[in-house]
Amino acid sequence: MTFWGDYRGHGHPHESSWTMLGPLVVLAVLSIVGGFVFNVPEILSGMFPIKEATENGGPGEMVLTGISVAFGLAGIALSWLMYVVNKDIPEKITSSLGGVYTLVYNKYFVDEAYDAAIVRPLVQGSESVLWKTVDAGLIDGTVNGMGTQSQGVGSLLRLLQSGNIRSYATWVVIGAVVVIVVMGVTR
Amino acid sequence: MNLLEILIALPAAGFLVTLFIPRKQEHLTRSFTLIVSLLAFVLSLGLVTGFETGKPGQQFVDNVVWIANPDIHWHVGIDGLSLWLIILSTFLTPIAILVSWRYIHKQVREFFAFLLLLEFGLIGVFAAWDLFLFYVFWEVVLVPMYFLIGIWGHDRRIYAAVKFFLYTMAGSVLMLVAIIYLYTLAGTFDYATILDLFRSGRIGLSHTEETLLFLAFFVAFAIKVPLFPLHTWLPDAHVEAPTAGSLMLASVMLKMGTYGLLRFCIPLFPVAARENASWINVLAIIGIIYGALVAMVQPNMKKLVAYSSVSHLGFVVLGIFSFTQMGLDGAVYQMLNHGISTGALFVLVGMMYERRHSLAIKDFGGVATAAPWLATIFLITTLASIGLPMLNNFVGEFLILQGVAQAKFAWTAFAAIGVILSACYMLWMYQRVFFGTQGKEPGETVKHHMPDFNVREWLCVVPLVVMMVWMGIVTQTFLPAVSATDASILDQAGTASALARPPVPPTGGITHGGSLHAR
Amino acid sequence: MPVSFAPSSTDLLRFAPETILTIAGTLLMVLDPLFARRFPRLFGHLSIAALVAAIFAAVAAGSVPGLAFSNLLIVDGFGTYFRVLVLCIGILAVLSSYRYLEREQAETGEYHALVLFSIMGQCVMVTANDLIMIFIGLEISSIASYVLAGYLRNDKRNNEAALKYFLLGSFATGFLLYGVAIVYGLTGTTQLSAIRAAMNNPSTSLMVAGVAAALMFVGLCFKVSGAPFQIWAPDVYQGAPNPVSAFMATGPKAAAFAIFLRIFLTAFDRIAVTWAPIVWFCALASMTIGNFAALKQNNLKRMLAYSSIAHAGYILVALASDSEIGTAAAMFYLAAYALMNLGAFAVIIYISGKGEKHLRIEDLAGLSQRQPFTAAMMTVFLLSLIGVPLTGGFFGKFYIFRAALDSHLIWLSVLGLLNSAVAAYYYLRLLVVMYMHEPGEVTNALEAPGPALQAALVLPAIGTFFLGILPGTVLTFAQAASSFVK
Repeated sequence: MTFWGDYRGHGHPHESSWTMLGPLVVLAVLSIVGGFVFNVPEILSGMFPIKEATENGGPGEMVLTGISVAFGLAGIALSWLMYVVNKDIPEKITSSLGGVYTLVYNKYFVDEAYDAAIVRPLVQGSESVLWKTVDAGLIDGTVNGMGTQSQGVGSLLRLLQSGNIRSYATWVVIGAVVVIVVMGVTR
Repeated sequence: MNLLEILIALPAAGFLVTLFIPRKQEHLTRSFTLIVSLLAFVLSLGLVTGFETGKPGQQFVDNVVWIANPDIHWHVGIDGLSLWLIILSTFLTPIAILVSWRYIHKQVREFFAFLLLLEFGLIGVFAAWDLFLFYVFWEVVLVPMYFLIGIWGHDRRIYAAVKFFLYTMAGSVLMLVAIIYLYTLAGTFDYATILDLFRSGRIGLSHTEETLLFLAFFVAFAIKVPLFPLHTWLPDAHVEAPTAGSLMLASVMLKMGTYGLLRFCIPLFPVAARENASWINVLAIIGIIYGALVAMVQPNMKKLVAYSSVSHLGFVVLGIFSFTQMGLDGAVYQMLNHGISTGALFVLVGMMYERRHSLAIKDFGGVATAAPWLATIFLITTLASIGLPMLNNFVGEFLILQGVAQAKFAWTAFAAIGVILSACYMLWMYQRVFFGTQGKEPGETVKHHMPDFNVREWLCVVPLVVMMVWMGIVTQTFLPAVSATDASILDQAGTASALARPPVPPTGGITHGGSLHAR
Repeated sequence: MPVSFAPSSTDLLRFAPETILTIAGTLLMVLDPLFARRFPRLFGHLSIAALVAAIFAAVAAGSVPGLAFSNLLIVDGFGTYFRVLVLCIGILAVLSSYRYLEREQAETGEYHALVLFSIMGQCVMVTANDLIMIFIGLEISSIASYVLAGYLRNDKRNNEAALKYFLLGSFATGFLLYGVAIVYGLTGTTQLSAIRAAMNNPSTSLMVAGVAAALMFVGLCFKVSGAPFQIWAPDVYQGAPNPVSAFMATGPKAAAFAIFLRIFLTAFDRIAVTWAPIVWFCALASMTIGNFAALKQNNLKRMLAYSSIAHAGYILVALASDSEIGTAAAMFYLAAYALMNLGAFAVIIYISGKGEKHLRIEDLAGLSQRQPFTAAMMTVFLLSLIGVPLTGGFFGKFYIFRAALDSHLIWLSVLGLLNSAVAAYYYLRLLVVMYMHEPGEVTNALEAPGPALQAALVLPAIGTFFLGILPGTVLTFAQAASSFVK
């Protein structure tokens, strides 16, 4: 979805709430307890019967886990502070930062930048160059061109067929002379 | 007759009987063919239960002389590779019949008869163990598909059908030359015997011979796969074919190509296969990215899915020519996955066509509101096709990428772009078709034409979704048999190329490849 | 050798098919004034009876193989095979003539008599052991064919076809006869095995032999409509009455190939190195010209004429491989070709209507919806002509290219098989029109085929499948018969 920021926000306008909530609840619960209840690597290993070098867990893994959990908690705390405890803070930050806020509010215009730098060239390039030129033009053109060329050869061959007996006889004579010469000489 | 032969004969018999059902009895025709195909599916499950994983060689073998001179055998059998492809064929044929139930109302008898003939050919292709027999089935498959596209297809059906036929034919005549050439060396068409002769060194090929023969086989298979740049028949054929045709074409017939590469190209010509692997892989990677990019900009849903097949099949070829156990396993698994998930996409797109009589993405929008179940199933299929974990494609793609990484890491990096792009084009299409409103009230564009699934349609999609999940999670059902066969193929490829092949015996081979006249 | 003019009974048995056909033909002409009005179909029935009897006679003769009439005839497996083949072709041609002749109000004994005489000539050709006998057989067959080509006297197209066929045919026969004369001058004999012996004599000038072979090659290549002497075939096949075209494209062609093989593989075996490259070239040229020219044809008969040129090319490939396998392949292919071609022509006879008005490809439009049975039969023949497995056409082609690769003709095989992919296009066009177009007025007006025409469709279809699925029986016989008495 990253690439298509433009299209965000069209989704699910009329879903009844439980269809949204139900899965969310399941996902939320699973994401908290899933790792403890199910042994995920064990389950996934079913998909890949060929054992690969397993990753070494150890202390490093715990540290990384800890750091990411800490960051998450810090974020939660910050937003709780800003939007629940003291509701003036966002207001102040907005006014003091001005343009920077706009930048951040629009996610650094990353979507727009992506769109201009990657998405549009990619889509347009795929459409005009790859699809219309290479696929339909070059490859299919070659394939169909071979068909047309064959038909062209066919039309040319039809010209031999004048319907005139004398010209037919001439052809026979020419052919005969060639055959006789070749077979008489190759000895 | 063993179980396998009964399974081959059943659709053929069904085809013949169907032709004699009176023209007016359309319902009888449908029911009869459905019953035959279901019976074939049940029988094919007997192959699964009777199959002994890990047993070397083929099983359910029968080998009798068909024509004494030239030495042609009716030699059929299955191994782990053919087993699941046969199951795929028998599994999808009833679905193809069900999706056509209401869709086909012209020349009904012929349509359903051709589906059975197609099934006969497909099972035969995967079971044949004699080169001549293989070629026979290979070509037999062409005929029903030609008619399926040409008679019951959309507007440009004739162009698509003829293109499909000629493209395939051009490739397969070269393969026929190669097959006959092998015969002149080996004196038999029996595949097992030919392999034996090669391995024991009683016949050998010069380097040029091997390369040329490899290419002759390879081109025939590459057209069928289809490998870039030989793919242009595919979008036309897919778009113009009726739903059942697209389903069988994408899900099973493309696999004939990759099957051929694995079954024949690599074991017969291991040295040439390895030597040519690099440019083949480059073509496969081009196909992956190119197919994805072109799929992205397609205005037509079927065409989008068709180009996505080019991309997905690129993965399979890449896996095969990585010459690693995991690459091959992933390739075979991906053959099956693609059969299920792309098959499901074609089925769903076909159902939407039946409702709206259009395939253009812009004619849809907001379908999710009108038909939530259709949207849900479509989403699951889309996610499967993208390669979401716990769904089938993930396993295949992952194995392929891992296998390819073992062979050459740069290939993996490029191929991974294809994975990302597949998410782009699939989700983008999903969004436009199911959520977009085309500037009107949500759902208004399609509300009145978009009933949700009926019972018959549920019957079509549920087995497919079940398989997506099953193959995504319980890979143990499928992979051991596949792995064992892949290991033996790699073994054949490995030992044969490790043993520097003996020089061509003076009396045996034809040393001058392609002189005008050899006297 | 003392010449006895009282032939032995074995000699008579070995000549029985020809005798039966001659008597039946003469009888038909005698009966013509008596029954032409009252029982017009009687002639067809009679000639079929004669042909069936002749098949039995040919089989009986084949069971006592050997020479006859002072070594002029040789009844061997090869000859018997071709005798049965041309007789079967005769039966199918007669079966498909019923409706045509009735439609054109031209049911005469004369037509059937000419067919029988032509077949009689072909039987003589395929069992001849002497260049003079070959020439006599060829002329009997050809002259009857010339007349048949112009059978409908009031039809301009018939007249033109007959004239062209006659003039060019005689011209080509002249080359053949000149070749025979040179061979006689060179070797002092016209008997094939004696010529072969003389060729092995070091004092024989191989250059003169080459010229003689070349002259005979011209004549024979013309008769089989192989390039570059194919030029007459499209015009003649298109102009001749439909059943006659069907007959000419199969019967005389099969017999001409039979003598082609027999002469070149026995008498001129020694100088194979001289003629094999020419055959190689002519095979390729025939396939290419036939297939490519057929791509643009809209007239069904003309298209089949070009297709028959291409098929002659495939058989020339078998000849170019210059081996027993090649001979067997040619024998097999000729049978498969005869069946599928006669079947396809029968369908054309069926749809063409009175005065052969409907000969465009579009006239087949929607045949599958109006006459599904006929369309299905046509499909079988077309798939066989394309060379799709399980049909005789495929196995024949396969076997020919097997022979070619056996003789290391790799490029010829590759080009030949690619050619067959080109050919698929124009055969597919017919399938497209029959199955994928809506019925037109021609197909709407069609009545179901009568019993004779049904037989003319079903029998070749059965034969095509038989040759495709169980080729073993015919192939075994062909292989056994492919070694000539040398």
